[in-house]
Amino acid sequence: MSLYNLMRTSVSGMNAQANRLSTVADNIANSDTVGYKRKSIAFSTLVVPGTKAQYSSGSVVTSVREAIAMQGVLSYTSSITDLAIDGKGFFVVHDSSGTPYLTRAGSFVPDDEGRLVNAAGFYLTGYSYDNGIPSAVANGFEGLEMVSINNTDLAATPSTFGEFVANLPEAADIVTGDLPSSNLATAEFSEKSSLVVYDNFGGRVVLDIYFTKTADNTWEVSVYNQADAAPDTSFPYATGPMATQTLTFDPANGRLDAASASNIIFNVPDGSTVDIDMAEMTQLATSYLVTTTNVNGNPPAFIESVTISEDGILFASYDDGTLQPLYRIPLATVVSPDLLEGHSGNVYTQSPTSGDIHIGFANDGELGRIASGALEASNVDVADELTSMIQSQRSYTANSKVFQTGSDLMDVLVNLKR
Amino acid sequence: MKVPYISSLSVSQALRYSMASAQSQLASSQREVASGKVDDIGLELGRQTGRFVSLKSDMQRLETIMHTNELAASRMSVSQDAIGQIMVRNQDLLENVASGFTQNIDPAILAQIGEKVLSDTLGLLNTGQNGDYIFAGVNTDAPPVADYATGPAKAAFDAAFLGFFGFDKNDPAAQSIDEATMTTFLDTVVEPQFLGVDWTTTMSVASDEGILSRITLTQSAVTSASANEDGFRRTVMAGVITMELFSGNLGAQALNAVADKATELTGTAAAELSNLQGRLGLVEEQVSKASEQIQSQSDLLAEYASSLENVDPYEASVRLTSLLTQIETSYALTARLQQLSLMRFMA
Amino acid sequence: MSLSTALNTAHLSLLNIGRQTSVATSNITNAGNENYTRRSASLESLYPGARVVSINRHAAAELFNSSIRALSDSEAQQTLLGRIESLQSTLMGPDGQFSISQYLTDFHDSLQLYAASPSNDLLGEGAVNSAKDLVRRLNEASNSIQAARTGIDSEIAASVDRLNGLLADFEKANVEVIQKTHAGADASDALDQRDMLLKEISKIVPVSTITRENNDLVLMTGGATLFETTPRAVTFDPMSTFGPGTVGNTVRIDGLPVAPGAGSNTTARGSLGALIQLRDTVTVGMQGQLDEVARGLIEQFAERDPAGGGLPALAGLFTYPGGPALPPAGTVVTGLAQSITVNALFDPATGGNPALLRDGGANGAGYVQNTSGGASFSDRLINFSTLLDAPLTFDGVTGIGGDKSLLSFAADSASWLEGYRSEASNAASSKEALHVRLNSALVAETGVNLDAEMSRLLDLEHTFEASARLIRAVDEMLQDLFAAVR
Repeated sequence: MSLYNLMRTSVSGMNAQANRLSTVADNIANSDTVGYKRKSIAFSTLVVPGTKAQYSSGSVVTSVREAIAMQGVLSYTSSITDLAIDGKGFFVVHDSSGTPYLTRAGSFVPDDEGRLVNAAGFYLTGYSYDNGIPSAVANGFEGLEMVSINNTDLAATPSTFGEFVANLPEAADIVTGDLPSSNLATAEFSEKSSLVVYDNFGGRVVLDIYFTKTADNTWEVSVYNQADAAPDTSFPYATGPMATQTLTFDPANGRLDAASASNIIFNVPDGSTVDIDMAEMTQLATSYLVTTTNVNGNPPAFIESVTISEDGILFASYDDGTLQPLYRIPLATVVSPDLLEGHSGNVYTQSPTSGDIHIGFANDGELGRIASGALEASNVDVADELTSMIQSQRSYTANSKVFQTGSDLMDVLVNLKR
Repeated sequence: MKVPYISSLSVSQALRYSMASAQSQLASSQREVASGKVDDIGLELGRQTGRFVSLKSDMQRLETIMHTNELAASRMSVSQDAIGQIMVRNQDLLENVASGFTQNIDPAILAQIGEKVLSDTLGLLNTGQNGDYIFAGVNTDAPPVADYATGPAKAAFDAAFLGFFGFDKNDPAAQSIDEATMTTFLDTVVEPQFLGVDWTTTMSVASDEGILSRITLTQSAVTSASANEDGFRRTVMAGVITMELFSGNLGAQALNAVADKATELTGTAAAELSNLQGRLGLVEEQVSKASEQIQSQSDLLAEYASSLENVDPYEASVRLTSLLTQIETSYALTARLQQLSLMRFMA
Repeated sequence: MSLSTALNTAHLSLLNIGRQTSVATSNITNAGNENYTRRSASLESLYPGARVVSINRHAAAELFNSSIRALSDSEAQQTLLGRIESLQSTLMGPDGQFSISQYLTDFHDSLQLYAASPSNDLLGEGAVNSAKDLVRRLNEASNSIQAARTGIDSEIAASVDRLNGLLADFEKANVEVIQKTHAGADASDALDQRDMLLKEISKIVPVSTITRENNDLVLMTGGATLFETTPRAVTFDPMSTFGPGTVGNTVRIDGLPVAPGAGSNTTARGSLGALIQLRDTVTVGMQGQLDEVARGLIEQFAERDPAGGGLPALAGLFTYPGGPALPPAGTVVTGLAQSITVNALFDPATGGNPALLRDGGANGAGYVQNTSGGASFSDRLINFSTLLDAPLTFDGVTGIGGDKSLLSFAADSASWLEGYRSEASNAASSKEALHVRLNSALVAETGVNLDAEMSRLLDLEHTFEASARLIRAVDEMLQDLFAAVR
């Protein structure tokens, strides 16, 4: 029996090596496929029971291993929408029917509807900012939608808060005449600045902000809409001040007094209520100097380009220079990535042994970072594959020799009877 | 460690700036060397410019005054000359009347001498210069004295004679006029005609005030003599009585009185004329002193002005030379720096 | 590390060398461009196996800010000096030939000549002509000052237009900077462009900057906002012509008036402040001085009652549209220099009689001083020529007022102008020197050193060679492997 055994064993060895050669062929063929993960064959023995005196050769069984968790080299491209992951995560993509998959093949380009689609035809998904700042659903694909760029028209965002920091000159003369808050043609003021805020339609509203010293350490702040200004002299405005506030400064250090108001709140015409923070204002013995002016909100505009940050936020850059986050691209992973089930197009699905998919954001734990303008090359090393191939070839030859030896022995055995 | 860094542009720019500034200074230095004057006096003096402007203005004005002083001086020397001439005539008359009468010379000849002296004196008093009558006071556009024979003065004299004696001088009765009466006539009737206010109605249209001239920036002086001066009047009167009374029918006694009066008049006139000459001479001296003073003042001003606007030629040329050297160095440096490039060693 | 990785890395290295070379090339191309800021390409290892080129722009923000501040100062002073010089050459002429002082002196001289020969009508005519020259000079000088003001006003309008244009361009450049900065792209070109615009704006008005998120700039000038997200309006309404009393309109930036500079070493920063100073202060001062000369002439040559009686003093040789009553003493009458004339009664060209100058009586018999009618009456003429030296009260607002003679007032006026010019010139050279110094320090710091770039190119050449070698080595190794597979 053992001769047959021997021959069957060597056949199984040859089969196993052929299997291995198949993976080598696949690896070499895909050595330039983006996001391709090297496959290899793991061998294991199959033992046939025998007696102490007699050994029955078993056979070798193969199982395919994919080096999914192994990081490929990042190579840089000139396309912003080429994405690569440095870390353990996967992009969540949909096929055209909406079935979710995981992939690391990030060569996305916008299709005719602005959706980002990769070389294998899978669509990138992300969480939209339409309903505020998104958060990831840790264990499901809910809330994910296809990332689509040109269908996203920006609704203008009205201003709601801002910051204004300036130094008011300590030595300014106290204004004894009409204050700006009176809105009289004779109004006098100490300093003036202006600030752009946005109304509900994204229209720019320029505000005139007057600072008037009314007493030592006391300043009146009046906000007017510049559109209402009288030509040349500004005063009187067509409508009264939008808001008036009084700031008092601590004579001990020139900062706002603890009891003083530290913000000014007003309603923008056709817009929201804007709260301008003035907590950092100072009154020191130097000239009027504005150091910070910031107001949120933005006007309507067309998307000029998109950028994708390391943490996966896809920003649209509008032609007026403002930036708006559109989507946040999540990363998913499983406990054992190497055991994911592969499908055509370098995509993977959860397998019974891989563990559950959980979703998070880039730069968050072990999921890794997203590199925009880069692609993850396949992790195949041609030299490695060639050496494997030579090894396989030699093993195959060795197995065939064993088989031939068995066959020769059988021949001898058959020829015994003549 | 911070590595010192310098850009190629700044290396070449530094040279270019220094070259441009040196070249613009060169142009101004060249002008200074050529003209010997500060290139831009206003820029150099700044708020001191007013002093320079005043100096220039003062110099120009002093020059004009010097010029006008010459005018006054020439008028005065012409006046002096004329007065001198009149004095000579006056002396003639004095001598002839005084000595001639005692030597029994024919009164007619004396009368002729008197006539000649009178016409000469009147002619001299009407001396003109540049269209101005110099003895006319300020009324220089008219001859100061009228001709005697054809003018109102002779008529007035004849009328006075007739009025005083009741007959004219050619009347035989004139022979009998005694010395005392004649003296009274001359002293009380004739004399006021010439030495009194009648002079300006019958003889002279000259004004008493002389011509006022500004002889320095701050000083004025009267630089003319008027025909109304006493000396002239006396000479004229002496001439008139000699001419008129020696030609009449007067007796020896009366002629004696006339001769006495003429002698007295010419004598006083001589003294007054020389007095007048002296006065004019003083003004002449004053004017010439003023001119001298102006000259020295003007010289001082010129010296001061030139010290403001002149440049030291030595200093200017040294500056020019050093600028040239600087520019040449710049050129050489530029050429050398242009050579100094890695490019040359890379071929 | 595998052979494939090695190949990939070498390949990336070639790509990076390409980008570094393009940076070096751009540096070399712009070696002569003052507004170009040198970049350098540096390699960063961001992700495994990938080294990327990041481009650094070697801006020197502090130096740049000092340089544009000095530029504002220098530009203001240069503007002031340029205008003063052209005014000086029209008002003074070469060697002071056109100066009022010169014309006064000439007038004095012709009066003196006339006084020396008062009977000479030609000299009288000469004196009147000289007076006419003087008056014409005053009129011309006044007109040229007003013409200069008109020119300055339209230059202000042009500056305002240019400023508005620059701010509009600045907005575009600023948007580009924000977009590129946020995208992490190379914003150097946009930054260069924005810095260049900032320089141009600084020439017109002083600028201080606040940097916001994503390199967004806010521009302030003085206390006024010049640019914040959008350009603020700079408004100005030019006048078509200026007369002596015309007041020019205010330039407003975001509603706040632009203040004029003060002093010969001007406090103005940027050409706009200097232009407003010229229009509203300097030329007005010059006009005032001319007006005072005109008033002094009318007053000194007025006819007064010779008998000391109650007749009022009335304008004589010099008169003006308000004549014959005299202008109020001791105060500037604006525009008098432009309207002063020689009395037609004196001017032989209009049938007048120059001898009125000698005799008086232009305002009636009561004013005749030469009662005897003497042709050589010189008292009045001598009096006139000394009156040019006699003190008179001049208005203090001219800056050179007080009790002084016409001649010394005219000399002081020359002093004032030349002093202003000389101080402005000195200040201009020192401010210019500071700007040149700072700018060359800036250019030295931010400009391109050709030698450094060339040596960097050599380095790149070597790296390229090494990478190519590496590729060949890997290739040979693989060849060996292939040879092994039979």
